[in-house]
Amino acid sequence: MTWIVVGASTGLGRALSECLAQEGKSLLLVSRDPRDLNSLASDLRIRFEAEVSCVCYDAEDHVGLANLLGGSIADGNSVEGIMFPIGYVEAGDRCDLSSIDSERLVKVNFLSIVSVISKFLPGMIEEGKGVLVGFGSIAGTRGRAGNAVYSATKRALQSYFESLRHRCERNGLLIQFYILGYMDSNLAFGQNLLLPKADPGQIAKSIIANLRKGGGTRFLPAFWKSICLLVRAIPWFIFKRMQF
Amino acid sequence: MSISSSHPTSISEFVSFDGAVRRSQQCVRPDRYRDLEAMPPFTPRIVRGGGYSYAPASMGGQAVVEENSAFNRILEMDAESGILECEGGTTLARVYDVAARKGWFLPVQPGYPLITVGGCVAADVHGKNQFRDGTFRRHVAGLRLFHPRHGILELSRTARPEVFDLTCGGFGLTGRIVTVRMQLEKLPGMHVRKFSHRIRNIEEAPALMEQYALQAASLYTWHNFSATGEHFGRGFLYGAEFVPGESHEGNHPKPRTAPIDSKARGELRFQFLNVHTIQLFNFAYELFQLASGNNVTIELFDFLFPISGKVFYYKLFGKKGFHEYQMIIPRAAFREVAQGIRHYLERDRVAICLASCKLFRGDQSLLRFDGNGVCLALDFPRDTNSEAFSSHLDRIITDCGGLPNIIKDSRLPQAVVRDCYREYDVFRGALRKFDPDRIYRSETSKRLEL
Repeated sequence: MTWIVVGASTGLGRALSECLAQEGKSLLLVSRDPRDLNSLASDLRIRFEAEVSCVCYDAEDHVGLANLLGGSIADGNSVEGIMFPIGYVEAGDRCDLSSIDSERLVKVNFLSIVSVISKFLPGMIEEGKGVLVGFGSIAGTRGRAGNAVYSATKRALQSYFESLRHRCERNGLLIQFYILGYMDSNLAFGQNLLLPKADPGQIAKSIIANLRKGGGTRFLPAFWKSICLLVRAIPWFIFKRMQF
Repeated sequence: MSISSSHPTSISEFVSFDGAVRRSQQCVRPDRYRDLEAMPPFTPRIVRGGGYSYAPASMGGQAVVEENSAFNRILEMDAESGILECEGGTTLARVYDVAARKGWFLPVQPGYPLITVGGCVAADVHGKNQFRDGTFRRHVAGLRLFHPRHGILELSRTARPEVFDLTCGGFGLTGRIVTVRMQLEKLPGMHVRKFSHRIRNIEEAPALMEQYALQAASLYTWHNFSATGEHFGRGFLYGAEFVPGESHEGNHPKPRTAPIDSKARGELRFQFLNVHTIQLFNFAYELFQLASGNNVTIELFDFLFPISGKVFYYKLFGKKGFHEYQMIIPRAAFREVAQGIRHYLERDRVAICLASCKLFRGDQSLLRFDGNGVCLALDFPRDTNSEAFSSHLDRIITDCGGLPNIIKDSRLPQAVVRDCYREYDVFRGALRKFDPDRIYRSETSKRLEL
């Protein structure tokens, strides 16, 4: 039984890979740069004696990625779960991003996940088990000028995971979706933020602990739930004046 | 504010571990290999590991600080040969954790577990018995170095040996130490027996240490410099030997590390260690050591990383901080140097909180802290008298043909380094030949005009 981590080499993906390896899980790690991925795989094999294999591929080619992953799981070795801590932001994403950049954001942040899930979902449904974990962002709470396409992909992903949970409700699959607050990753490095940045290692530990719980959407850190509710409740005449 | 779109940048405040130098400067935290190549090639920079150098060797110098915390992966651990390869930002605690489980350990390492392997190479640090084990460089089989002008270079004693030599003890000025390949030693056991001997005064220390220097896994002395007259520098010799024959299998306690960094070190406003408290402090320490008894057995981790449980000591120096003056004194001049220090302290009050000796031997070259003699380290609080005392020590060490440790001293003048390190110009010339643009720079390299 293998866990697949798509977007494994840095930040939350790397922390999740470490936690899963520590739990003794067999891993298939996916990321773009073989230098990062092979180093991480060696580290996990040595420190945790984990069984780790790698797929180096650019998620922009989402169809190719899904096919490659489908072929990487050998016959008789089923997938226990897939985590998708993949995503990136594009500088200058303020509603006028070029179509090429927008398309890449949609492909990497949304379509890559949809394609991989569609590849593995029939098998999981047939087996009546499997875990799928997606990651949104508080940026998707309410549309604003900054990170426009990025936020849209994250909100689209949330909707897709809601559908997925609805679809799999009676099939024995566990579908979890996390809306993540500020994290101390390179996405937020150097930004002066109003609220503290969470350690990806701690977030990963919470996610692994929650695998024993039910499906649904959760906020991490949990206090972001109240803040997002508040942001949604702000009347437009105030919201339009806010710069964040 | 970004150096490039792929390089998120922050403005961070850095402080040297001894509290002497503070700088607010740009900082990046690359976490992918492609980030290393994305930085504009002529941007001045310096790589920062744990930031535990007393001197500002990984900050300042109008450079961008490259944090190295993400490059901390173990790439190879060969249980048969004892070769361990890891990235430069790997901590000694992680190396210990992986190696001990396979029955190996790194015999040369400083006493705090969150120091990084890259930092150990850059400062060519010494360990618990330099006389027997040499410096860190002896255990480095190879390196991978990144420099924007040269790309990734594979370095060893046979591959580009001149750059390998320049990088070991090169203060990170030749480039980013991407990976380090080390030859570990077989772990004799998971416990260590510590023994001690009383020393009547500082002048007894070298001869007593020589009796144990070839066998002991650890050998150093502690001296009370508050004691006066013929008792000046009375104290203890501490040695340690492995308890043999104990398997490492299933006997592997988890590392326990009391965290401290250069900012947390200076969080106390008041300097508790000062000329008024030092006599009591040294006397209490001496009494405690007398009461502790001899032949104590301790766990390997506590032996390798004794500072882990004593970080509060550094906090007692408060925000103002402290000096450490570490020097290799030629054996023949030791008595004279000890007397010179004693006479100075009889005239002027300096709160010597730590006075400790180790035995050294080796060939000194470039800017490495190595050579033959007695290594004496003195810690004292940064106060109105401390600069004058440091300058006095500069004169003593220059006159006796000794060597001050660059990585321990934030104020060591360039002239003293040039006078004491006979290959200062060789290092400077070779560095400029390798990197004419002098991209990697720090506050230390700026002060030393490297």
